[in-house]
Amino acid sequence: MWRIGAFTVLIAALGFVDNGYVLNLLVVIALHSMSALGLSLLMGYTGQISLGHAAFYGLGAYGSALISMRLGISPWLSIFIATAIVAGMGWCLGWLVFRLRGHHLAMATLAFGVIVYVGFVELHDLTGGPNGLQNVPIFTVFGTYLDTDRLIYPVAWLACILTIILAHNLVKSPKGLAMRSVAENERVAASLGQDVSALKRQILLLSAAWAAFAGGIWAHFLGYLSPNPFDVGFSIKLLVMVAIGGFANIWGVMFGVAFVTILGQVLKPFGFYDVVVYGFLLVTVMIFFPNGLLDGLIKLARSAGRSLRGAQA
Amino acid sequence: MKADPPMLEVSGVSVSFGGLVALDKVGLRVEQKEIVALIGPNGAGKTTLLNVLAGAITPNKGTVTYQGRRIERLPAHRINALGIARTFQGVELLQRLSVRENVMAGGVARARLGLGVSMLGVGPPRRVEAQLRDEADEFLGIVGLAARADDPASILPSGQQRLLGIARALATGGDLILLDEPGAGLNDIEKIELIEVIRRLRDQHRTILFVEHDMSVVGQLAERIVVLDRGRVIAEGLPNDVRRSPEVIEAYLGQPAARTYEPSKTAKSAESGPTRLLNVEDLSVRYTGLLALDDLSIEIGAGEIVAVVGANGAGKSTLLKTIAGFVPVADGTITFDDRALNNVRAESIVGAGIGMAPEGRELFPTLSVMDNLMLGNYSRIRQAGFFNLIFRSSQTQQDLDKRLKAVFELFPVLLERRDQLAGTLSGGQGQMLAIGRALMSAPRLLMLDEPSLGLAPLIVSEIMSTLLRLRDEGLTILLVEQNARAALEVADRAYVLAAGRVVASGSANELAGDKAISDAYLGWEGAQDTALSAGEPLIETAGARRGA
Repeated sequence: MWRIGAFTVLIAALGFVDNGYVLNLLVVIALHSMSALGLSLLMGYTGQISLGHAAFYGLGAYGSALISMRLGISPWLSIFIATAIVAGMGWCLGWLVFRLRGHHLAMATLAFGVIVYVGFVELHDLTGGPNGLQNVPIFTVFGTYLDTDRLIYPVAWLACILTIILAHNLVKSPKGLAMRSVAENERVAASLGQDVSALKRQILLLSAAWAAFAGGIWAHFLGYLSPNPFDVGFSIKLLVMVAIGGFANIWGVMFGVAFVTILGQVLKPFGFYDVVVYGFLLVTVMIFFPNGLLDGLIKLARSAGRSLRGAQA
Repeated sequence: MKADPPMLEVSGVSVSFGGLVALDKVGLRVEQKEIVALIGPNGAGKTTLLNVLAGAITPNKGTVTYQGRRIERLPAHRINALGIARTFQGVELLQRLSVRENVMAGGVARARLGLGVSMLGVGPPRRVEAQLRDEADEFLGIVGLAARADDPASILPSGQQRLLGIARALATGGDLILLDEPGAGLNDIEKIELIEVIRRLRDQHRTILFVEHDMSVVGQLAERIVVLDRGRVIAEGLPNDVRRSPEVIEAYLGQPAARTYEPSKTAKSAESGPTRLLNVEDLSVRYTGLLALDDLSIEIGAGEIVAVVGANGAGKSTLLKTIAGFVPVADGTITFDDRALNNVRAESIVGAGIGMAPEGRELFPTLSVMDNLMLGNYSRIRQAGFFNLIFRSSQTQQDLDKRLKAVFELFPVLLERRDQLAGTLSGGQGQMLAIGRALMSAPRLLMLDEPSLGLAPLIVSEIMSTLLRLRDEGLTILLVEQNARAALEVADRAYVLAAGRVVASGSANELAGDKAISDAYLGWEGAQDTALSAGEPLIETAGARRGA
């Protein structure tokens, strides 16, 4: 808990940085973190792979944008409606895909991601096709548009820190124990009275909801949407973030998100070749730091510290 | 006094996997607060029946009634919620959790916490957690593991793992506890502990149904015995009655005289010098600092069966794995047929003529019996040259057919089941396939790691006599066994290992008679002490056969 407090203070302090670029990056990190944390609950703690998480992010964004545009309601309301709908979709998807395991589950969720992305591109009348949606309503507070990084920053990070707290509580609760037992051995979990498929559906629902909520914030902050950020590539990127974080490790995943997001900026000059670097990174981390890059670096630092002290003695 | 309704009533339960009938109209009753043993030879369907009761398998036909409620179609978690808890043959602890967390995981489902409330961090989840923790400590106390509550589950020795599995099952609040081979892999002291724990559970008004091979455990615990053979209940009743039942004796023992292969010659001894096939000299092996083999030397002459026996963790399997090239040599030399094998790659060692049937069989469960055998043949095809992978020459094809025929002759059941998936074989058939697969590489030295593991006595003697036959055909065999009695019956010579060293060696007959060594390392005297009469016929038969 003290970590969350310290982290909140750090984030609050960073909010005063007078640099639009840094603030923008931090907002992106907050939104990606919400999706990545949900994926970590599903993959790391419950042991179920999803290669279609970008779809939930996109559905939240398009859903909230369309609901507020078509119904003419406040984005503050539409984002919750959209989140609830996407959560329901996650639960339904769970009915379909959780009879599968391993590679088959990966393929099914990948297909889900592809289908949703194709929907964004091809449903011209609804989504505007490749051109996207223009004039998505912007969040307002007392008549002020939250259309700058500085103004959306508290909203994004408030949502993100709330997500961290909820995720933290969940994995520490008895439910977290149930999730870990499902991840390790479904046969045993069932023999201990766990309704394994119900639990998986619940966690998919939760992680879909978090991704959708982040997507909604994104939509109503930018004011326009195009399908590209929600392609399968983003699902893979989320996977890399969670892998670098060590899968079942909340702070590790936060580190993974920051690392990958910042790396993405560094790799901008490489254009589409950045995928090569992500692939290389994923393989390296999986082989040399199976518990995550953060964990690996901490261990390296510790052993370096020990050998330094040993040298002095 | 009014009779209580039965705790569990099974009637007409049938299960088949593909064409294989695993259970055939099985019926049985378990009364409240009874301790019932379910025994039977390998492949009899004991674990399948347990899986039906626990909801892991839905029967094709028949009914299961638990406390007046039909449960045969319910999923495992619903059955558990009704009060049937189980353990697994392979223990299946949650390795990444601590000992206490393993037990707590058993109680989570009963607490019925919702997803939303679990994210609060205060209130119900905290209360439930504290309660689960207290309960877990209580159950750990019952099985005597309270002191290890904070250790990772993965570091417990096998006896304590079994006890933890029981504590975890208790935590689900079960009234009927199903135990799948609770005594497997335990030493005598651990068995005594286990028996005490199970009796304590009954004293707390729980009902126990357990599957067990170890007759010493069955003899001391069971109030009633149900015997399964080939999917049918062949006997049921009080231990003494069941023990005398001719059907049971036949199911277990068969006709030993008819089945046992009489060797046509005795092996040449290793002392005769030039025929020495494998020589291990001053071998040391380390696992991250831990010395697994310590300056160990053994030798095997061509055409003899050498047994390596010893207690759990003595280094027997490590020795085989080192010879097979799976574990690097730290120090010393291994020579096979005057060729140094130190740190030669495993596949080249197979090519050189050493075949291995590893511990736990290690079959390819999703491949057919035939495919498993063909994979054993791979090293031969590869040796015949690269083009044989694409097109086999008639010479290689003939060799292959010959070896295949020999394997099928040795194990006719494999021919019968050549298209069946290896994963659906029973334990004994699986072991035969593992040996057959090793033979397909046409080895000159066959190494077997615990071939008797988990098999009924009849199957063990069948497999052991196969070894004698193979030896007569000129094969050299290195046999690693914890079941020393069975191993010494067929071996020409034996080495006794303890803590990575050879502590005794000699002819099998000498060693079998050596009381001090058998007490210290082989431990069957101890098992006999704790065994009630139920175990004795098996032991006597084995002894009588050796004498014959």
